[in-house]
Amino acid sequence: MNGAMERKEKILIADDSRMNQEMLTEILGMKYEYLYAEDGVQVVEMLKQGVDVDLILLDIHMPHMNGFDVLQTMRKEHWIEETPVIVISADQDAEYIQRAFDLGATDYINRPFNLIVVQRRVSNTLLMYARQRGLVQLVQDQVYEREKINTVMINILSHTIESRNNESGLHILHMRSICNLLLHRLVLISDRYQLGESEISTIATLSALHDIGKISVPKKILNKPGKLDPEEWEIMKRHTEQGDRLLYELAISQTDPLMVTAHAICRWHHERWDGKGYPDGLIGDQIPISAQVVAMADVYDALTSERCYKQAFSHEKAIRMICDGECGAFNPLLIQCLLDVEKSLKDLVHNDSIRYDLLNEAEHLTVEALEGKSLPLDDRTRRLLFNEQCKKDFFAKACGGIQFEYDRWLGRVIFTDWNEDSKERHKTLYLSEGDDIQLLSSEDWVTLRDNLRLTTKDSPFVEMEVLIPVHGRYRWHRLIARTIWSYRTPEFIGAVGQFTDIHEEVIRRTMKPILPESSSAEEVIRIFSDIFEVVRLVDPKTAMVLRQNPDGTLSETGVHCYEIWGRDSACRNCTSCRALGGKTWNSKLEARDGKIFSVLSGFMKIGKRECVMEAAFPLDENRTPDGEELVPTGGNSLLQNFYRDALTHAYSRTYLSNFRPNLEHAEGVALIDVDKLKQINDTYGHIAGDMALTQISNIVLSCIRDIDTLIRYGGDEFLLIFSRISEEAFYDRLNRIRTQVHNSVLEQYPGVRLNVSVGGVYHVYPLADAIAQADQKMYQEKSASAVEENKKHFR
Amino acid sequence: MEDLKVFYEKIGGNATEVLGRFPNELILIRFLKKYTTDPTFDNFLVALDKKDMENAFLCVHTLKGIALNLGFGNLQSVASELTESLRSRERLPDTALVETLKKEQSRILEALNVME
Repeated sequence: MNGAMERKEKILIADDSRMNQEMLTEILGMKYEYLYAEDGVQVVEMLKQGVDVDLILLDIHMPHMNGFDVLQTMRKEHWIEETPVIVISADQDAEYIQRAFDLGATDYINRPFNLIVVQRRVSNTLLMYARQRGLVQLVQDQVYEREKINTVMINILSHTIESRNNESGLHILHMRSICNLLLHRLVLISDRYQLGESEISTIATLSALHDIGKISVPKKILNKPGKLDPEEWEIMKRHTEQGDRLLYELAISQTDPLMVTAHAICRWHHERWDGKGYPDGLIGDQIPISAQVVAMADVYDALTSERCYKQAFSHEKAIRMICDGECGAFNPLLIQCLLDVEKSLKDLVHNDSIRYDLLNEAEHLTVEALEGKSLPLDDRTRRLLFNEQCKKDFFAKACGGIQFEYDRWLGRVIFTDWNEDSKERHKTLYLSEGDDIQLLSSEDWVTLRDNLRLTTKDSPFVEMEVLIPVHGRYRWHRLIARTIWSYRTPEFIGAVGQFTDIHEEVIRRTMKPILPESSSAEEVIRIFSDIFEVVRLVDPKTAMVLRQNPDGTLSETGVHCYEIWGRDSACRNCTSCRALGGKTWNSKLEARDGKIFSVLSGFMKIGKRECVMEAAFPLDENRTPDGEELVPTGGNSLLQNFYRDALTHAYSRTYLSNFRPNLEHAEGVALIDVDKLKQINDTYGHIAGDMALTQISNIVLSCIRDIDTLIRYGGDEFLLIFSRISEEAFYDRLNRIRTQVHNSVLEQYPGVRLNVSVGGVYHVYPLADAIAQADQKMYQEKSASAVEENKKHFR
Repeated sequence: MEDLKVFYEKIGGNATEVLGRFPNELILIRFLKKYTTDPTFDNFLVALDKKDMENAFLCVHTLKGIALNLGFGNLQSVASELTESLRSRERLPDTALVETLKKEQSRILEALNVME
């Protein structure tokens, strides 16, 4: 067995009675190691510190923090997915056990402890999780291997060679598939070679490299249609050693198993089982299995393809020739494998659809490059390419900001962020895999995509102004992008773009029409008061709001400047401090009463006192009269949409995390969970699910005031925050939401029943506790309604 | 074994049933002895004295669990009743019930003494 099984597994016994702890230890015996906790707080602390635990035996009734709370925390922190919990209970109450299971417990043990039951449940649970962990490890290993093999580089390299060889671009794909088939069969019929899934994948991928040494073979020999004369043949044969040597020049550690395999494949793929191959004349299993299998794949594919010196043979004929020893000598085990997989081999290599599935990055790049004309990679071209790359790097660096390249075929975006240090600078995202582009708000992202779609080969440019976060602070950027089109066809193949910081310019531009060049402080304040909702003077040093006395002097009001935003302490991102420090203008966003405010801070000198004028205005946003849809108005919509969830128009989690301190004093907090969303998605499709979410969000928005805040908290969860409300009105509104959702119908899907579970708490602080308690209440309601549902079912 | 049988008859339990749940006799006896020093019962009385409902509930609940595990039939049924009456943490339990609990506790301690 592996190492994980040899060590003793650790069991954490959480029970407030020492007696019970000892009894469980005695029953379970010396097989395990034990840790003990006397209450829930200790359990959570241990898990937080990363104490290694394989299983928790958890008592429900404990002081300070009970077992349910522990489960809830474990769930929230995702510990429950790694560490199984068996609940101990003297309450044979079905409801308790049900709740424990709902919260993620794996099993339960009743008192009185029964020797056999306890032992079995513990060992079963451990076994189940050990398997799961083993699987996770297995998958991780493989993903890691695959990442490490830089498939792209390898394939580009081998494609280059193939283009010289005039071989079909599919040769290396075939090689990979054939190696895969043969090796998977091999491990099934024999255990002579210790090959795991990742070794197989490595060999199959690296098979692409087998002929890289041919780069040193003159083109006229490579592409000679007739037979090679003995001298030419000698040169041709040298490609094995040349390939081996070339690999030494790569900047990869030579002891890396990957490199060892690559060397073996390049050098020995023309060795023969009978020792009559070249360059080293190795015999039998002296030849690494990687080279053996690549040799066979190479021969099979060469036989079944047309080459400059020969016609293609049929699959059947090729198999026969290999088995009869007409084309080399092979390991009998591999011949067996070849015969065993013959049918799949024929399908695989001759089935076009599979070829396209395998078509990958390197091909897109190479095919594009090769379509124009063949790409002779002589020294001059290489130098030119190198120079181009230098130029590109120079301009990229000189422009700074953030740059991206989008490849449509791969759905890949490569970001270069010059604001970051070199380690963090480059990021690669795959859109097809659902990676989030967090750089842009979802709305901006959609707009960008739409704009890109509108471009043509003749007018490929897009320009937008967007807000993007730089070191956690949002700044205005100008985005200039252009689409890239196929050289030959009118086909869109990608885009490149650049974000340039224009924050100061935008601020100045906004200010300019308002500020006459030489206006005095008093004049500025007067002008601003006409325009902005909030205008005040503050002293950032004391964080106090200032009052201007009739005699023109300033005095402190005793009110802190941050109170207006519902905060307890100075804002971390204080723009006024920066305005004061830099004697300049600055801006930021704040939230209050369900709105987002733009806050401008400008340095002022009134009399002898230096202070800052703050002006704030809500970003405008209008609802259509029927409350159906939110229509952003004016240029500021860009800002606001940052924080809106594109589907439901509720605020996004970004809003919550950015403005959390402003919400700490909210009087009422509720969590709304859409019942059975998964079922709706599964039964009616995701469009129906999306409609349900949108509809529910709209209903909630219509049930609350515009000073209340609705946040999409999770996939099917909304967080509702009321900063000021009476208790009665709070619960009243929650009820209204429940009823209206319940009574509503999805027009396109009348069969869908909409329901929400709502958990609300009043006057609970801090916000984290309020959310946690609301969550608990919501779950109670959910389980209660599930019970009701079941009853109905059985009636 | 005879000792255990006698002991369990005194306190309303069944030696065979309890032994079936423990690895062996010695271990059971070790836990029975350990019970004489277990603080749960005393903690319960202290909590009651202080009218600390939360702790009173937790203690009597634990006591009920221990009694279940060790097969103290009489003690367990009284502890059970007390647990239920304290579950709401709203009012003090019936004094008569607490007295019965005390009586059962001393019966157990006495019987354990004799067994040695």
